[in-house]
Amino acid sequence: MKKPNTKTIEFFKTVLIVVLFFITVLLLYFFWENATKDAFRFTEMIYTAEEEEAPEVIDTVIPTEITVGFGNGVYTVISDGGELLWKEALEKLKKFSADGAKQSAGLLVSEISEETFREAVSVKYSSIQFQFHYDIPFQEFCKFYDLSQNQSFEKIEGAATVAWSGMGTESILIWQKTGNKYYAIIADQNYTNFEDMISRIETGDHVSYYPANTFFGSSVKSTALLPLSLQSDLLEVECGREGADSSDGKVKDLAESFFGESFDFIRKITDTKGNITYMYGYGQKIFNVNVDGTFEYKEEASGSSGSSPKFFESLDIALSFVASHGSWNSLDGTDMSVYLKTVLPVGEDKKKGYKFFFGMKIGSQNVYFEKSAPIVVEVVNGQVTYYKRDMIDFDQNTAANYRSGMPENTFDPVTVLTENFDYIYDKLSEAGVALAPRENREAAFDGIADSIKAMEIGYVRPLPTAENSGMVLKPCYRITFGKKVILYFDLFNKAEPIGSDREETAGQSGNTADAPGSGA
Amino acid sequence: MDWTKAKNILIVALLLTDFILGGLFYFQHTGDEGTQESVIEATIEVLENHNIFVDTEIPEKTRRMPVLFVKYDEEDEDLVRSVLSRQVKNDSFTMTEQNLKTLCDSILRECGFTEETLVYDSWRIDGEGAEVVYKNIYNGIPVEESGIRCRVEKGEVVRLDRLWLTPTGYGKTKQRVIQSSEALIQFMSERVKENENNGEDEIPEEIHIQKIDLVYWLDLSVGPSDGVTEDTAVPAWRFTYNDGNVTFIDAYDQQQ
Repeated sequence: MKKPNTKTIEFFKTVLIVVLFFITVLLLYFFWENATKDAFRFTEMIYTAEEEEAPEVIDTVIPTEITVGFGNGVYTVISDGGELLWKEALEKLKKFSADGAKQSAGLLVSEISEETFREAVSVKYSSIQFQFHYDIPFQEFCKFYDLSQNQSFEKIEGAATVAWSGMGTESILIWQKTGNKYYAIIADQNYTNFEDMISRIETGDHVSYYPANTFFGSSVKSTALLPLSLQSDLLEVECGREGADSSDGKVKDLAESFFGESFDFIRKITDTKGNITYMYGYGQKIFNVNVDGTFEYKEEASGSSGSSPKFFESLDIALSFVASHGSWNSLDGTDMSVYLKTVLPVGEDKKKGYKFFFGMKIGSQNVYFEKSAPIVVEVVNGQVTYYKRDMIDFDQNTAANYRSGMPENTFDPVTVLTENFDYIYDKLSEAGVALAPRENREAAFDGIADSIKAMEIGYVRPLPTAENSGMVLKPCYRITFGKKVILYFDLFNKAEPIGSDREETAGQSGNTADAPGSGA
Repeated sequence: MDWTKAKNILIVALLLTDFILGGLFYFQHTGDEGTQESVIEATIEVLENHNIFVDTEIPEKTRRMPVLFVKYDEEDEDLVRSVLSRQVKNDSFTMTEQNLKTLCDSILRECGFTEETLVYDSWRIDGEGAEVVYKNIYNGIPVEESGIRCRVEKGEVVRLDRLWLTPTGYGKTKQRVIQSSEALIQFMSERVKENENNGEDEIPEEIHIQKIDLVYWLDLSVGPSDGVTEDTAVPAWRFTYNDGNVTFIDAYDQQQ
């Protein structure tokens, strides 16, 4: 027999070393992980859920609206580009607090009456209000934004509006939604920096708004701001539901992200409608994939930590959780612009945690989800106990071209009420708003006008059903009335009614007061 | 450098490492049979201290099992009613196992219940009639509590209760199931807890476990009445005790 040559033997040895090396690595993996051959899957080793980047807390907490009064009876309401103004305002607040801290007496906090606040933001004075739909715990607010504070600041529990007025230029005004309380943080010298900001806004492009009683006469007391006329180039946007096809691998990946390695051993239940429930243990963790395209996750809360939850810490937890469970984009990867819309305290004594409702925008336009919110996360004692996604999905190009570039007159904002008198009358009566009899049309109309709390412009997403997987986002007027009624009207097309809501389902309620508005 | 020598040394070192690791891994996962026997003996002793006696063999081997996906099967109620109503009463019917089985088999065939996994299980006299039980056995493992129960009186099937789960496939991966001795301890803990809730320190009545089986079990606290059409059965230890009482203990190792 011919003896193999040295080169062949050496080659064989090299191959053997490589094979043995891989066997060693494999055995070490089994040994350290305490795994077995069944648990070893190449697919799992290759696939690891990518954690999408979470938005920064500072970019998420932005005012829902910025109301600017020019002191001449004219206002403007800014929802586009509010982030930049808010960041600029924070710098000014920082300077205000730093200068105040250097004063001998320091800054003083004094509770003021609602009338004083309304007077300060009335037509008589130039003013600027940064308005949120929720209270931000004030001590945390100061700490987070690096504002100097002293003991007198403890009087303020939360801030839903931060305002400045020409009436008292040495003060910053705060509205606390819970308990409807008003405060002034007073320095011992005038602080006029906000005047520059207001002048800049006044000289720039803006839509003029007027208090409702300017339009409807002295019999109407509402000071909600309405535009006189409006031009808009918003187009309808076609969209679909995120995860409309639950057999999609992305939905499975989302489900898997909640249960990790135990995903293959959890209970999967399908009902007659096609809803799928993944259940861990006896309901400690439940994830629902609903046929209407929504996803819902619930987790049993573990024991209480004893201390009060921190607002910004909880928000950060919520942001990271969403990033690693479905991401802040749609499941199909479409970029979404999401912001914190409102927050509700949850748990016993409302001290245990927060429920965060996130809103979304197309470009700079708010998208209002009828009776829903795109993302809701509840954080109790640092643990996410509830998470809901009701995201839409659309073609990125369609979304990029949501403006025609040729502004047209919208349906006259004030005429929306007269045009839809009967519809609004019925909706408000159902909700228990006291109105004069319908036959007495003039008095009934005054009642409706009096009940207006706010008028906004944006898109409305109709409530999805199992049947309508494709939807159209329509440009709309969103009018908030008394008794927490919200009605949507087409921005064009004779302002036809296109949906209704309650502040509870729109995620902006609580046993709290209405925003102070213009105070005119 | 002498590469040939270096390679030889490396091969020997790697072979040794692999043997040691492989050996450790093998012993870790096969366990020591002697230890297993002593665990069972200790378990029996603890159980007997709590008035629980095992009158059957305790399975020693453990295994790895996936979950089993199942679908609720709806029956044609009108057809079942019609088949039952067509029967003729037979006062001279003798209730032997063979006669009962033949009668029930033919009724089930007429109703269209001919699934391959439908297996005759047992019968018992109950008052003036008898009860015949069929089980759903999938790949040798019962799917609980799926099956058919026929009530026979005077030579005719007077009632037919059916809960049928059609297996649609196994889960992707397997997981170790706990040993029967571990499940027995859990069974005992549940009984002790029940008695504590009733204000008693000890289990008052002797419990005699007659049968221990590894089955697939579906928790029916959520079921078709809640609109469920498909569900997931998990491995469970089934303990049959004191003449027909049955308890299921989830067999997945929750520590993993």
